[in-house]
Amino acid sequence: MDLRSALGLKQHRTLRGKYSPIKVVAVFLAPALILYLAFVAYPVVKVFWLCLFRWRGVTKGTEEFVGLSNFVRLYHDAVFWRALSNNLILFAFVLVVSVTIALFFSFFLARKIRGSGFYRATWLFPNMLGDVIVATTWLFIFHPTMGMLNYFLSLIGIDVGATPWLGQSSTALIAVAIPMIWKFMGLYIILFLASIQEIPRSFLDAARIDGANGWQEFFKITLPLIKPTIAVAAVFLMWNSFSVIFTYVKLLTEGGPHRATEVIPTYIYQVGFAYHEFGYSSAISVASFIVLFALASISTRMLMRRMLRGETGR
Amino acid sequence: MCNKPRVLIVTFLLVLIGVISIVGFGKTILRVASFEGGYGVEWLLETARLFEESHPNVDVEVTTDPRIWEKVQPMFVAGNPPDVVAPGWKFDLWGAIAEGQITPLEGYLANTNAVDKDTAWINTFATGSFAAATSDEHIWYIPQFPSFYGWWYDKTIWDEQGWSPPTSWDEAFELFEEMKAVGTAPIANQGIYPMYLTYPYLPEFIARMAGPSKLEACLNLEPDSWTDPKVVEAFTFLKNLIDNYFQEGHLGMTHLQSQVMPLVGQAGLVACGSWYPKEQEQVWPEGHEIRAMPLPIFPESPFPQNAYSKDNDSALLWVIPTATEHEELAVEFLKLLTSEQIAKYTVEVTGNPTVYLESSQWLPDNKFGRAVQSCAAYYEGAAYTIPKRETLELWYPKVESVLENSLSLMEENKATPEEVCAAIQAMANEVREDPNTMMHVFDLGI
Amino acid sequence: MFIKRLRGSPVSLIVQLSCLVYSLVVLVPVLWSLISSFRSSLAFFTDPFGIPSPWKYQNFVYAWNQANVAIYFRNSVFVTTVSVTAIILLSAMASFALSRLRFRGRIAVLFLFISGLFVPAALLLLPLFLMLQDLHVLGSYIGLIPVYIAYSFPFTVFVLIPFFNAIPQDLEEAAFLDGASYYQVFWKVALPLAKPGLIVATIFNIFGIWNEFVLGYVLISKTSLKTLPLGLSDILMKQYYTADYGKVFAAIAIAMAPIIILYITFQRKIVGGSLTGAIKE
Repeated sequence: MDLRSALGLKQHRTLRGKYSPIKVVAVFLAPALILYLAFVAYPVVKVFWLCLFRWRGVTKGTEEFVGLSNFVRLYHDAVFWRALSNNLILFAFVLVVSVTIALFFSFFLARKIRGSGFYRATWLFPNMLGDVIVATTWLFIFHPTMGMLNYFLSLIGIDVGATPWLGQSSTALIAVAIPMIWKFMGLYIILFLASIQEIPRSFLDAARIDGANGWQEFFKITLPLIKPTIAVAAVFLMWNSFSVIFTYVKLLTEGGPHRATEVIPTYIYQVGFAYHEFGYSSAISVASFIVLFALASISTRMLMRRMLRGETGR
Repeated sequence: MCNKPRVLIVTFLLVLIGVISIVGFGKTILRVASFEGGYGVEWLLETARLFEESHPNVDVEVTTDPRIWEKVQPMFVAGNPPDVVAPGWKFDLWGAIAEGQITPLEGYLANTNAVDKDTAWINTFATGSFAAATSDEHIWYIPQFPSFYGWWYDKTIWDEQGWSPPTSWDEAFELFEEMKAVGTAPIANQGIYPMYLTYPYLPEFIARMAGPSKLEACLNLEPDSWTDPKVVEAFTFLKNLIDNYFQEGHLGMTHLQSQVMPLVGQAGLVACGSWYPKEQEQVWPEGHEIRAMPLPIFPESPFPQNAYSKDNDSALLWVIPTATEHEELAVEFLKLLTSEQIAKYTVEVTGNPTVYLESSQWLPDNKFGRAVQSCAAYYEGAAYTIPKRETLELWYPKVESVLENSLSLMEENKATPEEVCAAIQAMANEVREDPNTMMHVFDLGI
Repeated sequence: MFIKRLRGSPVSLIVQLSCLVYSLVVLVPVLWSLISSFRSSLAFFTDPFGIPSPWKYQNFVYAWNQANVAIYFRNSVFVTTVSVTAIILLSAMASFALSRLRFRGRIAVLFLFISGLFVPAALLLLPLFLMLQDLHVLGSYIGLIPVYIAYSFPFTVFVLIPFFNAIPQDLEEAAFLDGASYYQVFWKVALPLAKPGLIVATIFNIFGIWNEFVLGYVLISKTSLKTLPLGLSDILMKQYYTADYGKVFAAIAIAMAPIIILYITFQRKIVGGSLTGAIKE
């Protein structure tokens, strides 16, 4: 298989136009590659190996080879499916809400409304705060009697009493999503803004001359042209929603109430570290990787092309 | 100008540092790991300090964590557990014991002397301390803090309001109506953690309403025990309390958020163990006094009235893993931890008695000591005590897990008491019938 | 034109209002937690939205000393500095090689790094834990920092390569003709020209490592080695046992302070960085 032709690349123009000396390549590439192989690639391989075993207790060396039976167990594990669906729901919810609202704001910000500089700076700020700070702050905001949310709702006339947003299964998942949206929205606004500003004026002018109004301009020109940016943002959010979400769930709800906010990373952690079932935990990781790779294969091609730009003649 | 030399030097230095840290400097390292929570860890650090003084060749490395079991369990599986550890209540302690991973201690307890004393180590402990720790004539762990479970309240506020501790449930319900009338929620609850519904509500309700032999049947996982109509009645009684007298919004409160409510007049009572006063240190209103009371009695109950919920806090049960290479040192460390000197220090610093014989005599005359003294009197004078944390929680974690989940569902009205009992019974049957389960005998001694 | 129509129209009013509302949504939580850090825990319980009176500076002193925030702060500075330095250096070298050098398997290595974008560390906590324990570096920086570095490669390489790609080849060819070695071309020609990319990568990595939680949570347990996020979560979890909310807010305020300062100082670069190179198409 020729990766190069699969990606549609032409010849790679390099320094001195020929193969570089191996020694040089090694010096530049080796440190990063070694670290990467050791701490990223090897654990991935190891997880695929560990998932074939079963640990029953806490004694070293008592694990037994069970082949794929961990996956059979996974198939029947209601908690796993709950965690997976929670994870995907969270991802979708955060994505849709963030992107929609971000598009709204970035569209108008691009038109240089009053104060756009201030807004840009302010809105990006939550993204700089660590997840622990964001989660902790929102933990207090969601408090039933001392938290800001219920207080403000009562101020504007919506009396929810002492609703425990994080403590009841009907609202807990959404409640976990809110801090993430709060944190990421600003970044999306800035990104989409940049993309919109890249659109050549000629396009927009031509459209206007043809009589397009604001809506048509947005849906038929702007949106399609910034789709790639939205896609990249979605990719990063997906990655975050399988890793960073650990922090939010752990600090806000610990997966409760009774698994209403359990997500894949917290379940993997619990099975591996609290139930000491290394094999089963690895199986969950492997299953998640499969899901991720499936979602990723769509975007990898696009990302690789971007890396190798300059070689495609664009 | 080439980067290579710089990279090489940095790599070499890193490797050098790595080697040094692995090889160490020749001292013996005793690794101690412990749960960190309401009792703090000052007493542990003091023990480590004293131990290093008396053992110049030993470095004591202390690791503490509110979720210590998450750190310790993988270490066991990797064959490298700490030398002395109090792994917390979510550690599968009896699972580890069944696998031979824990060193039995009865030999040391009975046959060696306590620190600075002429009597056997075991004689310095309060009677009955090892009841739940014993199995097959082996003693597997050493507890540290006894805990009484009941209702805690702010005496200062109650005196102002003219309220006094109810002794029967009829009196209690009257009191609750009075509280509601002035806008105080009767009972605060640590809603996010369903296990608080068993500290001590559920076990006491089952014992008092269904009878002590029923409680024994339940905790021994006997068939048709949890589904017995009287036991279901106990669950229903609890549900009634939750629906009508628990503070609104309690489902979303952590234990700290809820436990402060009685102190600021927003709730009347909260159920908790005797770690409560120390836990409230930072939010204790100036000049207020805290007191404890046992749950009200059911006058018609066949259960003796002079019996209260008490056991040893399962957060701090000390064990020595068999994989340790420093067993003698570990034993000496535990002896120091349970010695009179450290016991006294612990009581003074935490405001809680320890399992040391008559340690409540050292309770300081400060607000902590006075609060805990109000409950110490109960369990020290009790005819019988009902343990739950050292029993159901540790012996059968799967059943405990179903219990907690089900209670949580019941709180949210997603399951009826009947369904809850059925679910618990189902898991109880499963665990009992599993040949791999290590069974214990729960006996109230009545 | 659309812009002209915007001013004064009902649409414009809605937009302006939404922008203001959203700004409040962003700022109020931050301000509330900052203000609350000056109040005593009891005051907070009785009246969550009051103004501090008196202003309890002791919260900060307490957080800094007894709650170990000073230690966490120092650790974060150390870990971030060491990690980011190494990341930028090693990533720049690797990106240069992948962009400018030619060798068999180049595309494969590139693919290897990029596919790391889909490998969340949270799925690999167990093997990493076991691996570090086998190497006897579990719970120390010798284990943690290489892990941090390794997991930053995919994103950093992803950011840097387009910048290296964009360097005109003629400059480099000219340097070679002048007798420069590969290393000199890298150090004196490529790096300076890729500076904007390096700055963006540095900024993102600083924030990323400073705020990192998941890996640290599993790989570090000694209090004396915890970074700010780990320490903060510790304080929070221990507050489950001591109810000292004033201290929690004070710790959060201390943790937020450098971020606020860094952000205000470099705000242009950060916003600009997000706009220009890093993620957009």
